[in-house]
Amino acid sequence: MEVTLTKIKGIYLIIFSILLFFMNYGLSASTLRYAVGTELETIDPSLASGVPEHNVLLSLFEGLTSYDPKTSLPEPGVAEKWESNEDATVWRFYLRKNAKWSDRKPVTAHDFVYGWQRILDPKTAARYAYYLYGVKNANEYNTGKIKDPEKIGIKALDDLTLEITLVGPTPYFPKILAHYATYPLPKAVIKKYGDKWTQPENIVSNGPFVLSERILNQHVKVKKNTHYWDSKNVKLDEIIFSTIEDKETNRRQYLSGELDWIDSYSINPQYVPKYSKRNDYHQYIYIGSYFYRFNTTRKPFSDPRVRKALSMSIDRKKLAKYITKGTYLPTNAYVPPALDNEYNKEAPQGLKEDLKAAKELLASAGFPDGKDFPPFEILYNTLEQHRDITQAIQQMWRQNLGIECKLFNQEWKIYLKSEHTLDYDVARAGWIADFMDPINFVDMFTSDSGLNDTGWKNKKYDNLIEKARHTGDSAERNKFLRAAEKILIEEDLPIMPIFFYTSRNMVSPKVKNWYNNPLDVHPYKHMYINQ
Amino acid sequence: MIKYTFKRLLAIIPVMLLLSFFTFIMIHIAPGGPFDTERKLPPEVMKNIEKKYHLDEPLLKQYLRYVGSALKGDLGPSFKFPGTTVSGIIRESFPKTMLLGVCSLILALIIGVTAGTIAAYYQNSIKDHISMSISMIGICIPNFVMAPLLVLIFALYLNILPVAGWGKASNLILPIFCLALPYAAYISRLQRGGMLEILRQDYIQTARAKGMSEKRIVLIHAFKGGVLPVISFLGPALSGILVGSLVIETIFGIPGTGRFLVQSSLNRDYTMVMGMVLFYSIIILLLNLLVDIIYTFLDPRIRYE
Repeated sequence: MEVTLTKIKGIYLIIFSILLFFMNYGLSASTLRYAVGTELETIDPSLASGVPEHNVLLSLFEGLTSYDPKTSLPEPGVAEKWESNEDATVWRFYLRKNAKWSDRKPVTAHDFVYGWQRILDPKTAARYAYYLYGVKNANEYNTGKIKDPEKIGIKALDDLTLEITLVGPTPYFPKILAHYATYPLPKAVIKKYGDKWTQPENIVSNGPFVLSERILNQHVKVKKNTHYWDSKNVKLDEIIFSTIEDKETNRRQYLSGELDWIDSYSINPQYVPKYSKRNDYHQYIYIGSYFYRFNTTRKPFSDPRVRKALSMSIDRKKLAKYITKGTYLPTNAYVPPALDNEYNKEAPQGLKEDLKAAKELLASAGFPDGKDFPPFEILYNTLEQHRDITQAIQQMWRQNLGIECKLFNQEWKIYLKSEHTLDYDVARAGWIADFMDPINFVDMFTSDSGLNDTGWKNKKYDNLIEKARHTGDSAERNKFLRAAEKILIEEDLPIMPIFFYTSRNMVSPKVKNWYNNPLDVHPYKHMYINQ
Repeated sequence: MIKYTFKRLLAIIPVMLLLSFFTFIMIHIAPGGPFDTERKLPPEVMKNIEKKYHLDEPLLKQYLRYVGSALKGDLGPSFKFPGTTVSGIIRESFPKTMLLGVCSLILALIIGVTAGTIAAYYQNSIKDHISMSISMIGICIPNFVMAPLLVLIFALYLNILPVAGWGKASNLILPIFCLALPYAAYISRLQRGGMLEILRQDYIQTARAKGMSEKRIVLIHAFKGGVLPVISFLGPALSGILVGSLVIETIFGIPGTGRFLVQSSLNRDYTMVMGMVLFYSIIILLLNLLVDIIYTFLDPRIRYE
């Protein structure tokens, strides 16, 4: 007996000491380790569609413009300068001569033409193709109405001059050009390797970094691209994007120093009261809205008075403070103020909370004190935080209006289906801007929009959006957009605004040149690690 | 014996066919598809995607097409991760799950068998009670509680082990330990039971009467019979560890197969779900067969005809 036990102890000790010996925390000094929160679907810019993909692609590619790290506004990228005609429908971009791919070939206007044709090609079946629908004939080509890609409004006048013709005036156009859907692509490489062109041994990219390793559910490693035109200003040697999906694991890795940076995805609101006093915790207003959709094709939600009454009878400040722990900001409006300062100056404020008026509205709709109000369900996608918010709202409606509702959660894909097919009464929803312009929020609710999902149709609203789309003058355009938002949140309320999102990041103090910004997009170019 | 093995192998075929058929039907019936997103795609684009992945064909035809290529060893492309294949993902991730599983099982065996044997030999003594109480705790504390606890102690407070990750030997210690613990506990109880039964047998008495040393009796004569229940548990244990490593893989950020198994059905990644289910079932079926065969070698009374 004793012999076996001693042996085991011995084996244990040997294994343990070997393992301890192999432990090694050493990393080169300028490696940034950042948890993007989930596995990436792809690193093909034409096929990408999510925020984590964006965060990684930002290191690998560069569009015509890139993001200013403090304001998120466009600064020159591959394009050195640009100009447009008077009504902002035709744009010319002048590319810098020294922009190079990681295989040393120059980045030319043709690479952009190819990239845009590829994402719009119906065969690519890209989810983000709609992003370029503002370009002449882009929609028509993507949906197969025209077959010739040369007819799309993007032309290379010569190797370094790109001309883009748009459907309507788009004064904000440069703002959308730092997005991955607009990146140039290496035609020869894609033709040669097909599906496999994004593998580390094949990929050629034009950003500050190149892909060096990708292990699913572990990490994506990128290293400095020495052929990048501005490589002398790139200070990091390597970035490791951790793609581990567990929030708690990421948070613990950050606390133990195995990660330098975690973002909103990995910081659960429950920890915010604890971390908000730390100097490495950064919270900033974000360009996203949290709201409820009403199914306006179902009674009683077809009646705007009912929708208004519901919206006016919840205490958003309380929700924000106690349920979201201050990670969301209460709002009666829909377009986030961080999007555009000009728009924001006279933006509609929405309906104020007013219990008395809400009760009157409900009574005038035929439900005095909530009597005879049919029972209904609030649909949300399965997530603890949505449940907590929904429960609180359920209680507020019961107390304030005397109406009863049930909670109903569905797993993400089923929830999407229910929303798209209008198979719900009231549904939780959220939207995060693709680019910094209010139109990105308000054009969701036009009659023919694929994002409407409320069954709500309003001709006046459609007209206002249409007018905004055809106005080159910013001030004029903002007027139309504000009028549209006013219908949305003060007159008709197919949706009920609740919160604005905030971005949350925890960044190790040794990471320098990291800034809060409204898009929560952080170019890696100038970041560095100070040991 | 060979005939028996062959028969069992043949029986796997109808099992796999039925399994693949029902999995295929179920995942297709589930609401929502692999390409549903917040923004509804234009119908023309959707059509193109469906054509690319043959989702526009009748279900039965899709099924037959799938079985056809699966037989050739091609489990299809992943819908969720364009550019990767299901076979490729399994090839890359399964060795990691396997390494974790096998190491855990070995550790569980070392701890469990030793503790069980000690407990049986010193039945109803303090040694017995202590080791059985500890094993009870091991069975009762789920590893999603044990793992964060150990991380807290060893990684965050003592700072001697990493929180998560893969690639360094130190990354393996906590996950292997957490995964092994409940199995070690279970094995120790099995071993104790098995040993107790054997130690009461006549032939052990005979051995004692002949003056054989206690050490020899317990470690050689009794052990061989006493370990049988543990051996029969090994098959289910290994498959349990392989399938169940999901929680540990998640907590410790290990890029193994477990995550794909669960994530694929949430993503409605049809080919991935099919691939994972088929792969895991084959493993489980083969492991069970292997255990049955090992059994005949250990217990001469068992014969398969």
